[in-house]
Amino acid sequence: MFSNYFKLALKVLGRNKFFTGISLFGISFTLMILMLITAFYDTEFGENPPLSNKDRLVFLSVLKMELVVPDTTLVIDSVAQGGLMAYDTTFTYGEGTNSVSISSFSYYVLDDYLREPAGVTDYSFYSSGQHSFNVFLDNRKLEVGAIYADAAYWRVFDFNLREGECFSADQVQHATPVAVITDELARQYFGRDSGVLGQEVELGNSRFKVIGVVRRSRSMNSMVAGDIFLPLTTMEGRALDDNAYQGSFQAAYLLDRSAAIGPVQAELAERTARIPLRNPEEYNRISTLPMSFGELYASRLIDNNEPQKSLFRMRLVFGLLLLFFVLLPTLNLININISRIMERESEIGVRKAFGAHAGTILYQFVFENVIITFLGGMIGMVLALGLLHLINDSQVLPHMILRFNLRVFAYSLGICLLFGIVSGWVPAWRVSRLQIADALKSNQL
Amino acid sequence: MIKLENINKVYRTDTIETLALNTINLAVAQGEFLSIMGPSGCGKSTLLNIMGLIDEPSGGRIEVAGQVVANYNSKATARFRNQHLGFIFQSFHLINDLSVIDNVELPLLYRQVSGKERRQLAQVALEQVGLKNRMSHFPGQLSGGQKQRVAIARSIVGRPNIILADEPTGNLDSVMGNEIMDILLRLNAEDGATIVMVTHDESMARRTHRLVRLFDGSQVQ
Ligand SMILES: Nc1ncnc2c1ncn2[C@@H]1O[C@H](COP(=O)(O)OP(=O)(O)OP(=O)(O)O)[C@@H](O)[C@H]1O
Ligand SMILES: [Mg+2]
Repeated sequence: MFSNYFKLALKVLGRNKFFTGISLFGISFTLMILMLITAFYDTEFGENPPLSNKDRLVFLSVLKMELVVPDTTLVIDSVAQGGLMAYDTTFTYGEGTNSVSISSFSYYVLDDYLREPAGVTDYSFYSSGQHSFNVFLDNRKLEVGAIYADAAYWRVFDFNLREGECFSADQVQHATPVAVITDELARQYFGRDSGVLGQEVELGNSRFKVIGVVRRSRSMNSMVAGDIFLPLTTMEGRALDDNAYQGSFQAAYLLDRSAAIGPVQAELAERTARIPLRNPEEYNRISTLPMSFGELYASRLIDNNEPQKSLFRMRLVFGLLLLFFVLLPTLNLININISRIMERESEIGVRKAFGAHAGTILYQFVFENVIITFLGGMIGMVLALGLLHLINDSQVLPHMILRFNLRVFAYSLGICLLFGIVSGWVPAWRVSRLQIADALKSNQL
Repeated sequence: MIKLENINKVYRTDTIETLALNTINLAVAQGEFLSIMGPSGCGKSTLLNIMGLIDEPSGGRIEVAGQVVANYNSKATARFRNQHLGFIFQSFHLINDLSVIDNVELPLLYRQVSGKERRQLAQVALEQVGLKNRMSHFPGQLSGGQKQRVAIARSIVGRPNIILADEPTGNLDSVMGNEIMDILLRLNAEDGATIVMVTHDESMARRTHRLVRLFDGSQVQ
């Protein structure tokens, strides 16, 4: 029976080439887009190294300093009352902000006030995203992004260590000039991505000895997207001794497995707000918004001041995008399918006259549709693979390697199946209810 | 074999109400070859469809092969059609996307029959109508007479005890028509099939056992 349906499905596909073309194009294109979106999502938000713990992380990224002054407005209304003037005065109390400074944290603030909040297993202070060195190698210019970090960095972020080791607390304390580099930098700098331990990398005026090679993060998140990792004590200038409030540091806290994220965020915000200010004439309020990974990501994308709202908005946009990409073609396919299946009314009449039950007819059409969508799915998958390759090769998204993984494959297959069933079921159900005599009157065979 | 009691059929559309069948009482005996005649639009097809349980009467009682039919959409009725009834339509109603042999196999798809057995039975049926050498053709490659013979093969492949034919020779010339008629007569005589045939052709009708005439939905003879 199934082989018969299969044969018929292929015949039907071959018969109406125009419909088949449109269907296959629609399905494969949609699925390709979906696969790209899921691949992108998986790279940026999936629990992949070095961000496997992203759901248990709280970030301190922005320190806000303000000078706030009371702002009182006095309104006087005059009213004529029995030949006399009466005065009605209103005060409005508010506050105004005279100046604001927004930047990252100084090491001093993190070190003195923001260590070891309750419910946290480990935490790391690091400086990332703003240390770029130009390295000249036999007439080639290499731009190298550095991340300065403590030893805990390697416990909070689980990089894949290809060889060697990461720097230790001891090495950080003694400002030992050692470096952990990515396999990508090793390839560019030394021409090979292994066997480079003990070699030296020259950055600015310093030389660092390579002690470890890690796989580069596939994600573009700045806290992990560096080419070289150095002990934060080797940072040039007086970055660590400076007792300004703001600087170039950020912090990541790894929560206990049982801890909730809310209280940790609250404690960090509160501790920051209580930091004594030396010069209240300059700034008299200090605050920060501790963020989850998603909030941090969204706030950078949308609005720094409202991470929660931004995350919501980002999810909404993402969700609507997905819905749009799935719903629109599905509706369209249902529509095409209705006319396609209606064209076969008399076939349905014949089948029913010779003993097919409504349910059997339904299965036949849904089965046919699933075959079409799977065909489209296969084409879409090939297209997606090609496009992913192209995107990775062309470096449209620098350093971001989109990978076609099994999870994405499984999502896509599921989407295919859903597509096929949904877009086939509706018209098939309608048509399977037809009265036989009526179906046979449409002489279309 | 078929018993109709006080069958009415009313078609209602927005504007008019057509009484297609008016109190038909008719019994067809087992092994009988009955023909139905009448002017166009008098309700012949409607009557045949009601006998074949593919159209519901508006009133009256039907008994086919000893069974009274209640629910026309049930699985049981579908199986009953499959087991007991074979249809031949005026406009063939073959499935163009399927080969001749696949078309003939169709009724067996809805039974527990292995693929190999299906093929064998379909070949036997095609042999009976003299089309064994056209097995892998498609309906589009056949003449009208050949299509109708495929339709006959399809109607007999499941060995039903009742064959209902709606103007089986209506689209064919007299030579072709006579050939089809010969096949039907042979099925009736040799296999004992009960046949009800609608026709416009007096000479065809004269070769059957009994003739029923309809006029404006009523039986006049
Ligand atoms: N689905 C329908 N809706 C409304 N009226 C219908 C419908 N089907 C048939 N009729 C009407 O019922 C009457 C009988 O139709 P039927 O098809 O049985 O005629 P017939 O005797 O087979 O004619 P012909 O010889 O032309 O095939 C006709 O008047 C027709 O217009
Ligand atoms: Mg008719």
